[in-house]
Amino acid sequence: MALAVQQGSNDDGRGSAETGTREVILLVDESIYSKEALLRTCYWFTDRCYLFVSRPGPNQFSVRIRAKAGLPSLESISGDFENALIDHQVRQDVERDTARLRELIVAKAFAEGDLEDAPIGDDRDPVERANVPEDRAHNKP
Amino acid sequence: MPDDPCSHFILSHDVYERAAIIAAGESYAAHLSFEVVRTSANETEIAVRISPPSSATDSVIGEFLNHVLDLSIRQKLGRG
Repeated sequence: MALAVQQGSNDDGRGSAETGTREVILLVDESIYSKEALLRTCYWFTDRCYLFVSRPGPNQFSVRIRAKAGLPSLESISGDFENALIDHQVRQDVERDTARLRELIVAKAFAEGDLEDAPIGDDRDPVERANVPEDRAHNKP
Repeated sequence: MPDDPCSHFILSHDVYERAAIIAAGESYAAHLSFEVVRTSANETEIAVRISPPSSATDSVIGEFLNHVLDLSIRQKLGRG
């Protein structure tokens, strides 16, 4: 697992009502989890917790997670965050691995759609249609 | 409360966009003041101050940093 979790009390002394606030610090290995997957995960969690992302070293991100008052426990949030990070990374990997296949499926679907058939009904502009003599109007090209 | 009511944060440009930092600072001008202590190609250090400090200081700073992060991600991932 590329997530190293540190958990402890926030002892920086800021905020008397929140001195007992705990925080979790996740160390994310960039060789396993891409920056994009991490950022997408963070984007979905800013409504649930306070996040601060830093770069403690090359190929590594540090994510500090602090719970917001009245919301689920920090353990629950950090667990959900880790799962979401895996989800986003897997989606990205699958998307990359199947990109060519998806292109082929779409191309095949369009090819089989026979889109060059004449549309049903009269699709001409009504004004243009009105200007065409009656005998020609029934003989569309 | 600590002697220095100022909180310092080093924001890596790998994650945080300079423009997002400024935009979030403007959005939160009514709640806090911040200044850019130094900036380089890789990171920007900011000092955030809330006066007067209160029990909500941590929450306000947390929301501010979340907002910077949200704006940065939108810019980086092309969502706005």
